[in-house]
Amino acid sequence: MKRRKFFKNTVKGAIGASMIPLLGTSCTNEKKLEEKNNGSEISSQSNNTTPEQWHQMGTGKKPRPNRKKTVVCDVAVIGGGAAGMCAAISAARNGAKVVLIQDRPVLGGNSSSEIRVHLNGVNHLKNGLPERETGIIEEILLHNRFYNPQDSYPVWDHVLFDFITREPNIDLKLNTSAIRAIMNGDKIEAAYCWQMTTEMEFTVKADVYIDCSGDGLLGATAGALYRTGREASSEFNEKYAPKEADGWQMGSTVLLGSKNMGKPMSFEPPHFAIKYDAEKSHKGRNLIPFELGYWWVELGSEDDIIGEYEDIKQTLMGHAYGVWDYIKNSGKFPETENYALDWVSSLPGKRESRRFIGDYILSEPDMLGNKQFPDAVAFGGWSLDEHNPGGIANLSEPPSYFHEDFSEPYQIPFRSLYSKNVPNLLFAGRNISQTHIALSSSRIMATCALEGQAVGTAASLCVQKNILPRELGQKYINELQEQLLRDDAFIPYRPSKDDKDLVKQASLIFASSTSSGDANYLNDGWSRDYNKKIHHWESEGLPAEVQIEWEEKVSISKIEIKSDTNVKRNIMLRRDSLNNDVYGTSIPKELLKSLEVEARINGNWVQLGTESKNRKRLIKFDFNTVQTTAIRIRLKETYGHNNVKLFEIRSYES
Amino acid sequence: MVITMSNYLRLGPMKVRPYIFLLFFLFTWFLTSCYEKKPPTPLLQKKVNTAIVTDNKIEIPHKINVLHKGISLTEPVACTLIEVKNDKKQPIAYYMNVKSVVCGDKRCRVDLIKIFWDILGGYSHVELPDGVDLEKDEGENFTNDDYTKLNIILSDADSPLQNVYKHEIVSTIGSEGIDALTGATILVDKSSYVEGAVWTCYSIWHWIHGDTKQILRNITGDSFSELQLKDYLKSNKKEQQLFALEQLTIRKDFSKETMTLVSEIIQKKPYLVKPSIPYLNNTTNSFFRKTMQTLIINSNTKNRLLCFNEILKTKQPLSTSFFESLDLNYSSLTFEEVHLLLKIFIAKKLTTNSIKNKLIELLKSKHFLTARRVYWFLKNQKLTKEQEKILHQFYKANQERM
Repeated sequence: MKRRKFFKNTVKGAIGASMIPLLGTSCTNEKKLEEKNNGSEISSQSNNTTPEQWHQMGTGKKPRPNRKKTVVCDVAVIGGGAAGMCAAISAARNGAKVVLIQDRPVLGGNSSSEIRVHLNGVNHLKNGLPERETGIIEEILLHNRFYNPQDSYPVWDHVLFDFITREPNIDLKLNTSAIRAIMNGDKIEAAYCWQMTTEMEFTVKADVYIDCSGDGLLGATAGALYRTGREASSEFNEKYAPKEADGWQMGSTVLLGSKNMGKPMSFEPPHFAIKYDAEKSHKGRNLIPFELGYWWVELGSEDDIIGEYEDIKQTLMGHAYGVWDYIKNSGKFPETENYALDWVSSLPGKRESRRFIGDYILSEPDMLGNKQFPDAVAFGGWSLDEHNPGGIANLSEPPSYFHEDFSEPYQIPFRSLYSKNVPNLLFAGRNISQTHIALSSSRIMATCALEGQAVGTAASLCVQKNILPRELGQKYINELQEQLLRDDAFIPYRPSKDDKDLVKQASLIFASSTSSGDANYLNDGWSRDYNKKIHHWESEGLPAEVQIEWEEKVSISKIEIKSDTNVKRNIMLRRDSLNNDVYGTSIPKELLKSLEVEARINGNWVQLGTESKNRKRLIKFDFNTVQTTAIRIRLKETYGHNNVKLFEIRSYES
Repeated sequence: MVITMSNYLRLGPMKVRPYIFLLFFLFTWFLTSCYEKKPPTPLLQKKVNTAIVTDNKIEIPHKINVLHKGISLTEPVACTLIEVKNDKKQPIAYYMNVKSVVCGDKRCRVDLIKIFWDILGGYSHVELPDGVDLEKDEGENFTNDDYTKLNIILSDADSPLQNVYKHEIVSTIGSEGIDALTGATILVDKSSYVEGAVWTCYSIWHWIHGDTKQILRNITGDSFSELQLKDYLKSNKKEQQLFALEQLTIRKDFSKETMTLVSEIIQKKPYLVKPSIPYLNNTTNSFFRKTMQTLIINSNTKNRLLCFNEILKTKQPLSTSFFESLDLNYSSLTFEEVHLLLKIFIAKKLTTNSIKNKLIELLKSKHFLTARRVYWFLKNQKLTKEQEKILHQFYKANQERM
């Protein structure tokens, strides 16, 4: 990347708005230290308080700290949920300087310890099998398997914190809300932010903004077009949409958890509990299992679901306690006698509010018809799971309409991930350009994560090329897709054709043993077996070797390997710690643990890299450039499987 | 007392046929039922293809302990396997009484069923008690189509069910959370089970294709004479040949006559080369060497690679004469074969001057990768001046590609 704004420490251009502070700071770690020092200096800026109002007893000074900072970066990501994290990571790893703004104390969005929704994805298609997401979300889930085998939600928060803060190009700002866009023409010039815990006003200036906040306040204040509510079925030919358009949005949920105390535990409901009328409730509201709460304790709105949030939350808490009261005190569930509540969420998890309008609106027929988009960058496959209008306030209807499962994953186009009218605004997550019915499937977090990786990568390319997202989609979509595939994202029916990958030019690929697949599949561009076609090579026992020969010398400095983690099993954190090979707390036994890579130089094998505790599906080796005619991957150990399975080997000059 | 069992219900690739069972058979069944100690009700024959039980059979109970994935991954279940012998005291079938369902969701009705195997452990059929049909969700009985599908599933030894744990079969996801809103979500391919009866399919499949299979193969093997095993080996039936190889290895029959027969058969049947490796590895050294030499010369590339890999791993001693006396045309070998061959030469220290001369010829190979591979091998060998000269010429001509 040519520009390194982070080190310039200057404010970019003049901004008309009067609240733009004068002090420029940067996103780098070094500069963060500077920020602290600068922040303690006495400021004589005008303000509503007098400069000497605060008498600092410790120093004797009477300062008023400067609470305003400008942060200049390449990409600003708003929202630290699955989509936002993946957007920030992908942008950062592809060279952009990133500020990640999260309005809560923890990362993870709906999956965080504050809410505890499962980070679901394509958990099960019509055939009953999952088709798990790879890429950054896969790396995050694996990271959790290593550091949080106990499935603790508070630890999950910090697994995510660890994952994000170890990236050198990301400046994470927690407890910070992006509350207003500052515009320059139709483009966002800056995001005005407020950090609750430090009373700091941040003005975040970036070339590209990615709104992954769910509610999309930044985009909304930028004037980005958006919709709420349900489309009429005629608009997009959606068979599951209502005949007439209306305002209904799927509800937010309050989850709870209980604990077996080993002795009888009585329960007296608080005054705000709302009596649960089980007799009138649709039988779809299962009360068993009872230990970990009910996703159907939810309330939607047909109007301003964001504006009503605090009211909804209080009512929802009443419903949550009301259901628990019924479970404990109705006499119909003696198995709950020893159970007591030990956690009730105070932050309902949201399913729906704004949906921005992009150059394309993804709809139900696209999904059910598995429309093949030339600009596909992500996929989904959760069922069309439309929660009922009204939620628990509408007891007679089922809590959700599981309209239809998918036979195979559907594609999500890049044109649904940037704003139609704010040219430097991208988005990922539940606020993307789609209909209400499409949202009922794509809202699932791992799907949002794939969108996040796509827009993060897109943003970095925009910065590199000094262009805007629409132009990127029109002129460089192949480059975007190839980068995503290289970074272990999967796009159905879009195999990689990366002509920079030197393994594609290899004369011969062979393996020391083969129990299934073929070593020649390792450069076929597919990173998983798909639609009953094999794209892997699997050894017969371990150790094993794969060797790649070129007839002519090649210069290489990178080797990248995609190993197996079994995408037909789910590994996300679950509240019930379901522990088997589909939903488990263990590290996938297929994952490659120990390996080394070598190059043949002047007839001798020279080690280029070694890894004894690999924890990723995509394993990368960077080394000084060597000229060689062959590389050899020596595969030593997995996390339990007798054979090793690989999907791809790539090599690059730089 | 003899009971005529003309009303059996049977699932299996067999024809309908009446059966007569001795009283002690019922008594044995009663005694040996894995779980339920109650006398069986008469059975109704429904679908059968072939006859396996004759009038004058003898039944031998075998107490066995087997793991059933649906019950426990660590604690074996004590069962009684019944070996059915004919009047010549030869095994003709096996059966075992088991519960129809290892119930995963506590909603299933459990019936006692009878599983039949052939003498090699192949699935034969299942019999149900009189008047009993297998049950699906909501108390519905199996239809004829369901029985047909069940039979196909149970006949598939490579069913996806084999790698599934019982917890994996039914998830409890409704919407985003923990629930069972829409009924069980089955996490295996629909072709692997009868809809509404996944537990039944899973339970029976694992009884059929679990530990019992190898146990009864060994019982059959023990009862076979050397002659019978040899007949199997010569039979032209793959399943019988594999069984013979397995059992000859277990009983360590390395007589000259048997070894010779094995050698002859595997040369005729390429698919037997891989399964014969455990046998060959335990034969005498001279036989091992001779057979390997023959296989290397006569096999296809796949089996030759198999042999090279085995030679690389084997503890059988090999001398330099092994390859020197081998009339192997190196120029006909693929890159991978040459690559492995060179690995053997290094690992087993088998390189001789005559081998080097043969390898030198490969420098002229039209397959440059092979020539280059040989070059790097020879580069580390002690060579004659003439050999050195050729090697140098090769390098000079190709140094940009080295």
